[in-house]
Amino acid sequence: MRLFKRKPAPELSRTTALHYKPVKSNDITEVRLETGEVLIEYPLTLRPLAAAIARRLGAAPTSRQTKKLQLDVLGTSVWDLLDGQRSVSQVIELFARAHRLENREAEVSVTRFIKELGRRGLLGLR
Amino acid sequence: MKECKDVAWNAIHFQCPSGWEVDQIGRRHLRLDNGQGPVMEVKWGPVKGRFSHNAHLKRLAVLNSRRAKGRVVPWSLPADWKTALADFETGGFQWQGASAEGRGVSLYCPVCRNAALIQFFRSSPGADEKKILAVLKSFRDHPCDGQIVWSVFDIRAKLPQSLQLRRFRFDAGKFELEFTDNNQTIHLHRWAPAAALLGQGDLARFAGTIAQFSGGRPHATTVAGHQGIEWRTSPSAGWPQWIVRLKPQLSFFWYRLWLLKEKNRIFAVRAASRHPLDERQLDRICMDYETV
Repeated sequence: MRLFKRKPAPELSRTTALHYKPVKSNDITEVRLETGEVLIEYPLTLRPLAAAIARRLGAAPTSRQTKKLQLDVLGTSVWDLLDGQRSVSQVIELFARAHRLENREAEVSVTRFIKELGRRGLLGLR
Repeated sequence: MKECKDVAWNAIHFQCPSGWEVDQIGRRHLRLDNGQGPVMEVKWGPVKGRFSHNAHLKRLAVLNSRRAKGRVVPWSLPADWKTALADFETGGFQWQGASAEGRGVSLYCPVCRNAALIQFFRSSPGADEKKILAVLKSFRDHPCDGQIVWSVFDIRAKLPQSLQLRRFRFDAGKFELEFTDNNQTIHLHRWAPAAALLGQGDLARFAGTIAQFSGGRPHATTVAGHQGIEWRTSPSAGWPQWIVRLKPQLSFFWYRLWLLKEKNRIFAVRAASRHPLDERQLDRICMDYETV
């Protein structure tokens, strides 16, 4: 028997997940490029081991490492819809209408995009 | 049925409410969802030898008990279900699991010797009796005119029965279906949203960005009134054409892409063969390949 068994994450139904509102992180900076696409700069969170190695290699303990992410046209159009007020389902609906996509297809691409940005710490859900 | 749509996949064809959408898809499996959860499931396949409803039920019971921990028991079909499925030999079943329950019917078609299993999940409030009956009434498991209709998500195509589905892929924004017979391989593609994918460029430039379509010399064409491009590559006429027939690799290629501006979609058909391609058949396939 494992003593420190990790608790399984609570299961989130699709309907509940679609009602959450994605909120952009305060730690990011976004730049609008000439093409209209968005370039996001966000802080990189190093794992403790990687941070220790970086310190050993001479990195200043307070230095802030950042990473850049350039969104394509579709990514930018989703990004522009994220105002902290709209829910995921509203974003999907607007995205589908803007690009004349089926709702289900739009749902797959928007939720995948939001998930990926969440993984990188660029977005949170409330 | 009001506001219904066609679902057609690998010789199976039925109508369902427009709110039901394909949620899981396999070569011989479809599961539909109404936004609240799974509402209907169909599985089918050819039967060798004698068909037995009881044997199918037993197999289903084993599968179901592993998955849903529910017991499958025979169920006597209501009269209207039997009338709706008059062309088939039928047997009913129902099951109850921890979180859902369902009922369904196993069908056997003596004409095409296919067996199908249709089940409706009861936990979904959208699946009422009228809708179920309409689905069952419209259910067909073999084509009558030698042409198989393929209609899932927003695409609809009609292909000769000889072309068998080999591979398929439905990614957000990108669909691809591959069909084959003894002589040729035909791919149907669909991309969306076209405006974003094309950007400032045209179809030829877009084709250049897709690995399977790059390297051609396209010329303009129209497909059912839509602007498009097409090109073909084949060995030079005469003896080179005879020599390539002895080689194992494909030598004849045909490509066509077209833009459905008002639907914001790009459609494409490409074909490859060791022998000269039947361009009239490919034209027909393109004409019957559309968005719904």
